[in-house]
Amino acid sequence: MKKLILLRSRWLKMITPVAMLFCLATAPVANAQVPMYKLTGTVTDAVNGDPLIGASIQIKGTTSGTITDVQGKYVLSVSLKPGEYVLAISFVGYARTEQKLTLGSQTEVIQDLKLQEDYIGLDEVVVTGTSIATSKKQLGNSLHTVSSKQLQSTGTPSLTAALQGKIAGAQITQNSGDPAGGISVRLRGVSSINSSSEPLYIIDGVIVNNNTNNVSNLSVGIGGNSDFQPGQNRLVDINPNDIERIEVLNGAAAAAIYGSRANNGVIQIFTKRGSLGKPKITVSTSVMVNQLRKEFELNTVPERFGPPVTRTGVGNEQRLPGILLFNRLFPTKTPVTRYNYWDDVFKTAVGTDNYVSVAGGKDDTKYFFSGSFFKNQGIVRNTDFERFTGRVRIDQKINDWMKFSSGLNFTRSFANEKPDGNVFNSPINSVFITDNVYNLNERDANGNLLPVEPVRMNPLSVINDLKQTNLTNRVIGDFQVNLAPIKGLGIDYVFGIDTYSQLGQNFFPRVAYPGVNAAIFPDGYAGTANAQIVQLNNDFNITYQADISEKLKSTTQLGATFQYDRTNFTQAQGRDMVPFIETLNGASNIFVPPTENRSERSIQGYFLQQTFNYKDYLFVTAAGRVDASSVFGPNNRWQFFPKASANLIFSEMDFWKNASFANKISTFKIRAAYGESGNLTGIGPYDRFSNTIAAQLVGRQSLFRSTALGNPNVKPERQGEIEIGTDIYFVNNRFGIELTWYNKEVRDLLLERNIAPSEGGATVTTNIGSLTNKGIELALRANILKNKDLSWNATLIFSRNRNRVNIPQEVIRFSSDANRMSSAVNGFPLGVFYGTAYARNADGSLLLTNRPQTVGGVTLQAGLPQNERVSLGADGQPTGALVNRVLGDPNPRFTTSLSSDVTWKGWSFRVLFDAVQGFQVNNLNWTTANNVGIGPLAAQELRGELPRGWVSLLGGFGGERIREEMVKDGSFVKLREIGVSYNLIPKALGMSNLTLGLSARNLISWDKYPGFDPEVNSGGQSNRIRGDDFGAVPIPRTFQFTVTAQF
Amino acid sequence: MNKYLKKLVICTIAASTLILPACTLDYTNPNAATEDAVLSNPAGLLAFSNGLRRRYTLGGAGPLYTTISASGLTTNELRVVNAGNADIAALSNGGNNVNGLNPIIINMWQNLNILNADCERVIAAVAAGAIPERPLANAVQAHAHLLRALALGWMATFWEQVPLQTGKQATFLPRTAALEEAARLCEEGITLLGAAPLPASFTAVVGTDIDLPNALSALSARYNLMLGRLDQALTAANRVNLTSRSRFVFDNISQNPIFRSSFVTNNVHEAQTNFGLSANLVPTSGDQRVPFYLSAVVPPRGRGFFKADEDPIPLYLPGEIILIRAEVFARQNRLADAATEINRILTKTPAQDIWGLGASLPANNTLFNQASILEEIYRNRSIELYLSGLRLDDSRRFNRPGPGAPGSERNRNFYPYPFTERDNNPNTPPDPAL
Repeated sequence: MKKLILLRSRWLKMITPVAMLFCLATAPVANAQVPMYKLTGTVTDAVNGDPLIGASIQIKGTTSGTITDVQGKYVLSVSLKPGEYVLAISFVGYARTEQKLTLGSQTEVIQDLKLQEDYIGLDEVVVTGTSIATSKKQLGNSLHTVSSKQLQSTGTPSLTAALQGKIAGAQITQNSGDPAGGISVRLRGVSSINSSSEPLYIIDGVIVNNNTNNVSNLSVGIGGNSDFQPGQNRLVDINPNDIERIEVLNGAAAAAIYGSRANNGVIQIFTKRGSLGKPKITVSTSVMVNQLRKEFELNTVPERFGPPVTRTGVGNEQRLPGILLFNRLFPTKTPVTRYNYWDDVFKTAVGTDNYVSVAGGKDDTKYFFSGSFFKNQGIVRNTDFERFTGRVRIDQKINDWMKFSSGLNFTRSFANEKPDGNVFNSPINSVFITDNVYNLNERDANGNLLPVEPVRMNPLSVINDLKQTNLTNRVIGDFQVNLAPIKGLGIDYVFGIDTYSQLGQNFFPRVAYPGVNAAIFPDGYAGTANAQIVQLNNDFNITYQADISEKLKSTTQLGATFQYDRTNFTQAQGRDMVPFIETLNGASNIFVPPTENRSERSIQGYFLQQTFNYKDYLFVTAAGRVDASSVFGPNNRWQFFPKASANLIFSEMDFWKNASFANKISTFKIRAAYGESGNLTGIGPYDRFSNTIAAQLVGRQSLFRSTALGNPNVKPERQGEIEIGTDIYFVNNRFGIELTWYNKEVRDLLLERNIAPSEGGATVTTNIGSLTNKGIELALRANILKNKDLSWNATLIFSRNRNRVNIPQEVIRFSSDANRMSSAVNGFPLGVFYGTAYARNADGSLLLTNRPQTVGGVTLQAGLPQNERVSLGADGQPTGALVNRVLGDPNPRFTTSLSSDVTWKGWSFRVLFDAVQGFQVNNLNWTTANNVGIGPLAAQELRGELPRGWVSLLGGFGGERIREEMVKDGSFVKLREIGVSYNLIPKALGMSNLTLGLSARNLISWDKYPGFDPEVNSGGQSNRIRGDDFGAVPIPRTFQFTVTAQF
Repeated sequence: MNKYLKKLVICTIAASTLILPACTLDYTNPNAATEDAVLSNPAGLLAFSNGLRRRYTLGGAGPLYTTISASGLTTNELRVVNAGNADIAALSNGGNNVNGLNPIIINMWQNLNILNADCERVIAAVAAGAIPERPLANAVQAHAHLLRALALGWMATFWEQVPLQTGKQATFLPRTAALEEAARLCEEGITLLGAAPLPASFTAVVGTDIDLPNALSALSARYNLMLGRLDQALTAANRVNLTSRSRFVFDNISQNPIFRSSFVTNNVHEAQTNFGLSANLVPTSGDQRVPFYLSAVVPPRGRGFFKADEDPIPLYLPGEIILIRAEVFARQNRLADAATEINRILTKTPAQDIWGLGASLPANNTLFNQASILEEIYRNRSIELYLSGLRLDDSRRFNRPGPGAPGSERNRNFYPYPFTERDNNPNTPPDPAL
């Protein structure tokens, strides 16, 4: 406490003088006599003269502003010193306009205003990366915006999924088809190996937590190590209906405002606010229908290798009879009945989404309330997700130079889950490891399910009996004060808090039949885990805008941020359950000790940014910031990051304005930016220490060294990014090209790298190597048709990114399981699949064995596939050590999307195609299914189309698995969204607006992937394990019918 | 003036809200202690001694699991239940299939080296005076000697060269140097302990499961025998009290690793029929050691010291000591003495063995020449010491048919060095061909 007081006083000493200085400076001016003015007028569409309802009018440099009423009229009462002011008028879908305002002796000022429609968002007001509102046109870097309209009726409860195909330079992957399935976002590729590459999410100024906390899949270690992050990511708690606008800043080049945390880009989200006028009530309700889009086709050949099927649950004869095992390879076939297990696993799922909001305002107060309840079933039976949200925002003007705003969001998310795909008692994997020759639904006299293949669990036991729940209660709140004590000076303070508790609970009852692998708890299991997270951010910005001369304007910003977060995680598990009891109390065997983990972290940063605007056609910005993070040691804690950008708008220059082509090429702008940023959360809070861990040993106290050695001198990785771009618009800005090239390099790459064990440890976190991302982003926007009844907009987005890892060793494997092949290979993109390959002839055909071989006591015929080895023997057969090579890349060559919106009278039609091309998937399902006898190759071997033993050798049952067989092309084009809606203005029930909409998501996928869906990752939100397909739930096809009414 | 004051107050309040969060950038880790703190404190070193044992015994990556599994798979003591477990399948297939990427080999190498480094730290900390109480200091140090001897001994079992001292770019010495160091550590540990009983301050924390002087003598005998230093082996073996048990103990949480990671699953590896012995070496009918180690089903499932989570695993068996004496005598051509020791093993009943392990067979009086006696010793070691990790060195020491030879009994002589070592230490020796 004493320490705290000391710190407090130290900070007071540092901060207070600054604040006082500003206040003193403002005092004489503010104290002058100020008359009261009343401004009135109408805002209309410049083309058709329609009044614009809800347009915002602001006097620049003051907090005075208002919004037009239903007649497009505004009234603004202000007390300002006489002089020259600028009125800024903005409205969604229209170009932001500024108009001079002279306040003199006349206190009643009438000023009518006209706005020009902005077809392509060029003049859209943005704040990301600048902290003060500016138009997109003035930025030196690329910035993408998404409006609330684009987030409606997308068929997904997830805000991030709704962004798929809508942002250039972003790769958004839904990792799981669970109703709350996790989603990964990569802006311009991965920016770290050691930590997350997910962007920074800011909602109304609050840095929100997007962790993937594993609280419900504790039971089985996944894939060899903790790089796997399956499950929900916490952005799922945000209701897309509440979103007004999203701004996406892809590059770190412009991130001086957000500093260290913006290494992976920024997604800034603005929620809806109230506006002056009568309360506006919006009610919407949706019904969703979800279904499996495509099945992984199971074997239908009515026979199998091996003995007739028996169901005792024991005996090696019944285990994997199709392959070489237990020193046998059954040569003869017996007739069997084959079942389609997917019918027992999947179903057509339904859901609803209900939403109500009330928005309004009077005098100096504006408010917004909303509430929602969303519930959707998963296509896997007995899974669902429900989310209840409530949101409040109050905007209050205190006086002419001071206002505040406060928002509070509550979310309760609850999911009924099934074990994650990576384990063998998950719904999908329980099928993939069981030959489909058993009728799953048969029961014994007591009504118990029967065993299937020995060791395995009956998939219906998984579906019916394993209970797994995931509950989150979350509050996100903010408090903001904006001061404008003198003209041109703005002081903003934002306090944000995001806190939640996430609880996972599991109960697996005892399995009634014998033989099930002990690793998947046939004796029953109970587990619970709780993650408690709190994040705070305080941001303090001072902005001063001044006109140095008529031509030159200056904006100076000084900012400080203080961030703190704390995580508590506890877990307890037990097995060998007493009958009837579903909690840990019933566990007879507490086989893992309960654990508790706490961590704390704080970050500080300060920045200074200066922008000069020369005659509104040249903008130059330079900034520097210093940041410190508690996760790094004192020697490397404080880091300086510079930034600069420039933007030249030729079309604003006089020669252009007067030129004959000014109408045809209405906007021509070039921009360039360079910025550095550091990953201040690149290592865990205590990773730099040489830690000694406590764990019990037969009830005795024990301490042992972490195998990760400490490194007090580790420092943040540093990213330098340059981007150059141009925005060209034609024909009154109806057609546009936005093109950006970027090159970013992460130096001092943080890597928990292997060290020689003879050094006395396994790993150490060091700064070593580098990582580069080079790419282009292109957006073509067109307003193809526009007249009174019909309008047609289309957008084509194309992005490509080339990632390359430079590390001082050939390969770092991210899993100790060699079948999970994701690795960092020097000179290749992060996460490539590295493993054993087919031996091939010079022409690429398979180099098959040329003589019979004996493996495990079984003689295999010649003509079977084999692994590539370092050399060829005299007989032309591979010999020597096995070769491991790069077999595939989960990073796409390019992504592209095409969207089209047509509105005709009250109708609107939209369609979005989303393509991800040129990437591979590590399809573990494929080889697993074949080994088990349910896959296509196993069927071919049964039909005699492949020689006996083929599947065994591919699967690793006669030597090392040939992992190249698992690598499959995942390129796809999806009909991501398609929808039609009809808007009518009924004269009943006081409704002002009624919209009926029908839409579908992921309706069709054009791909050649031999599996459910190539868009998947059983590694979840892992940064390193990408494109891995092992028992993950496929993404469903969703239909949604929505009714929205406004009163 | 009034308005000026108001603005000043408001701005000051706004600025001071900055100070609400704690501004420290230094947090201590509540979940773990630093290495320096632990190693400079007697209570820390005692808990760390348990940590050494934990490192050695627990989990599927621990040396106890990996040495038993690797030796077992390489010498056919174990069969692979599900070849989908590529790492164990590769060890079972042997030869070229075994490479430095094999997780079992990687884990074994890594944890033995880390254990070596742990022990070096304890020994150095005690030498630097971290424990003022002399008998306690000696006990902690002798205990670290025991674990370090095990670390070096196992590395010398599976690899041709061994980094004796850990550190950056550690240098490698021939395995015999590691065995010599292991034997020296055991002897030094015995000297440190002297005749006095272990102090209660030690046993209260570390337990009495390991009879330190006996265990050090037993390991000294083992490593001297592996070195061919027959006299020293015999001297050490003669010091071992055969009625004392030294063992690693387990419970539901700290689980018997062979049982938990493999046998209970029936999906990893399992016991091989007839201990995986060649036809001429299979157990005599009626040998009571067979039902001790193997279940009656076909193919058998493993029993022995691996039947449950809480089964203790012996550090050494009395039978090993008797067979060490037999082997010393046999190699010294004292054939009658050797035959006597073999018959001690053959006639030993479960009741006579501290672990309940006994062949209960009649004495064998048909052993006349050195070769047949040595073969009988090997056969009995293979049965009596089943799944102790020792068979790979035995197979080499007794010149059993090696990889590729007709009737091969082992599929590798030594292992390649893990890629984790090779990629990061330029002093890593070349891999053996087989």
